[in-house]
Amino acid sequence: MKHRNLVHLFIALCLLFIGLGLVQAQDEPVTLTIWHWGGIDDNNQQDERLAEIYPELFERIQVENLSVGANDAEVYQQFRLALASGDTLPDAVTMNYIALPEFASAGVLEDLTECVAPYMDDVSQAGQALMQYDGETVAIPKQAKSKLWFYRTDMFAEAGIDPTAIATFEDFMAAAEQFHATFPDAYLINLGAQPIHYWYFTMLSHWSESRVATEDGEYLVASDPSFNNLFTWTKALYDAELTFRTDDFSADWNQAFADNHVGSWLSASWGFNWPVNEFSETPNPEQWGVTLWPEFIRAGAEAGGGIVVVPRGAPNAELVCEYLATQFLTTDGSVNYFEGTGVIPVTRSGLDELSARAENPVQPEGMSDEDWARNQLNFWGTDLIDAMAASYDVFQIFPYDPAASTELEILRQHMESLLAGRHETVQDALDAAQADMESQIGNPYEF
Amino acid sequence: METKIHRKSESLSINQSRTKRKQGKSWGEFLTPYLFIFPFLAFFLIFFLGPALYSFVLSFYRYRGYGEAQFAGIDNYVRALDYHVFWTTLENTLFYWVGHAVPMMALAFFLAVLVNSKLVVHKNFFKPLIFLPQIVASVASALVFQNFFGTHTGALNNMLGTDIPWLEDMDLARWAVVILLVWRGIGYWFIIFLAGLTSINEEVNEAATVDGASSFQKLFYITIPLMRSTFLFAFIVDGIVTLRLFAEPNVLGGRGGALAPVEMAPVLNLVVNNIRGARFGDAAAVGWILFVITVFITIVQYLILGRRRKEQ
Repeated sequence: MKHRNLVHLFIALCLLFIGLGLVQAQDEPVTLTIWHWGGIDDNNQQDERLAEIYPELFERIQVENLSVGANDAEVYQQFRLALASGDTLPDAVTMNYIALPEFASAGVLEDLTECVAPYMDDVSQAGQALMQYDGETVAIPKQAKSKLWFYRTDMFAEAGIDPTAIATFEDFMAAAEQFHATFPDAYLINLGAQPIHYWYFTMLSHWSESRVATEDGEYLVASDPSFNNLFTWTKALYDAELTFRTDDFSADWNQAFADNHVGSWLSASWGFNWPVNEFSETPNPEQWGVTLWPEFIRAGAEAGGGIVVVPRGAPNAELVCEYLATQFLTTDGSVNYFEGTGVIPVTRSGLDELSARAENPVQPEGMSDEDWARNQLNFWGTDLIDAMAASYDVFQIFPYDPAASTELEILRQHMESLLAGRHETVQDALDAAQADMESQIGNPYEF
Repeated sequence: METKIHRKSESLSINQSRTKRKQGKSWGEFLTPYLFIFPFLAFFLIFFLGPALYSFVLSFYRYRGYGEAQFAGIDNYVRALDYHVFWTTLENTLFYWVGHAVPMMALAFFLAVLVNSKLVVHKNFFKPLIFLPQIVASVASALVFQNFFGTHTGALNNMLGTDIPWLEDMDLARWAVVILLVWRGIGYWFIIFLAGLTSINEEVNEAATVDGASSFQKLFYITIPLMRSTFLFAFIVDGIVTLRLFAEPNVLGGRGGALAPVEMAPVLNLVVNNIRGARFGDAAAVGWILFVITVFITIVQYLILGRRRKEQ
């Protein structure tokens, strides 16, 4: 063979290999990197199941779930570092809505309006609220942490209390008194000297007009009635000694439920079989019921809810949005996510589907009796889904500003001082909180 | 004059011979020691000195971790020093340091003397036993203490038959932290003191015994004075570690992922809260103020304990 022919053959082979490589590269699924906090086993399992439902999508993608922190604050910190370096951005980041204002106002999140448009008709009002910041669609709703009140139906019935009939704070105090009178060793709720951090904005989110500061940086904490209500009611409940003196997640808390010292829990829908795991340990697990919060603080949400955002400049922004929308905004995807995590869908059709299943829950093949006993649908029947659907109607998000986490720390500190008697009056506590915010934060919108 | 010239010419000849020796070395011989210390130097410069200097510069800026940083002068320092929470947390930190250091060191030294003496047999059993709390992770031990001090279900109140709010009443909660610090720290300083005791020449004690000194006299006039260097090391290192305290008060006092209440929080909480709130300039400023306080306290300790050592 002539030398020139050999060269031609070599070039032809090279082109062939390059061509084959390109074809192979086109066929290879794109890896989407999603950041979470805590464990990621559940997420991986959800993806495996989702791949069975949507095989076409998973021919094009593979999902790499990464846990980048033990809690949400650590995820935000990693996200800030990634934004600073600019070259290690993930495709999507899981966060709580409370953190959204910081990143959305900084303009570092992808606008998802077009991507989610086909799904919007089926997204509940709660889900739609979670997708927005300042009029822009910048998040996929994962979980609406709407307010739910879990209570002991047997104890409430014996004390003659109808939780749905409590309309005012005075009604609530009367119910607390009645409950304690009926059960001298038990209390309507628990509340200690250091109220849990989610107590504040969960309460404040009831008032749609409530906000910490105006966009001009004028703080409203000392003058807005909602803050006054929060501090006044908490102080009144605490001083009346009508609550079991311990805080959520303290050493005594779980045992207080097990020992029948606490008759109810003002909480939210957190998924992951919360609070079934807690209540199924109590002597009367079947006696727990769920309803909306009392009317005077019914509306709102805890930390808004769980969302997933796509950073501006993410390597596969369009594809990851398609994946997230499939996971959380389709009927099958959101129900699949519920089955694995207990997170109630934000889609209307997903809720309807669960409601139908809750009418006649069937133990899935392969699920142990123990797991079935803790299964949300089996444990609650239709109660939970009905309550969730109702809570979505009164779902609203506190208008967090970019300095929300610092504001929360300051509120906590002065509430604790008020309960401990270091502030003489509620107004003293609110004035001091506002003064601290002014000196330590300045204008939260010029963050 | 003659002597001076003689000395100068002597030192000149020494220098010349050194230079000749240096010239005789190959480059390999010259670089080898530097290559050995290079990994440490590189690690120190990249992961410690660099970030430390960066955080110092950052302390004069308002910066959320990305985007543009705005120069703020000394505002961050002024804001921190003007914040009552800073002073409360500093007071807590100093309380934890003073509250635990004295009883912990005294107990650790007492146990070391006891185990080192002839009064205790089975020394190899007691040494690891006393050291045991030290190998438990600080978070794990704090979780155990959280249950131990629980108001309604805690082991301590169950034993006493009381309902004392150990972790709800902030004055008591601070003492709970001190007890935890003492419990965790004793084992470590026990080993250090034991090492110090075994380094004391036995002949000194024997000579004292021959002179008729009692056990207490030997302890107070021989052992303790000879251990002053160890005490100096112990108090300085423990002081530095305690001023950076974080895990113990926060696990004992924190709920549901939140940090401990201000009334029992250490200074480091202010740094962490600022980082969580994306206020990196403020966090850096508090960190540097804490550094200055740590240096100041270390110098004071050195002056007090070090001077006594010299007097000895």
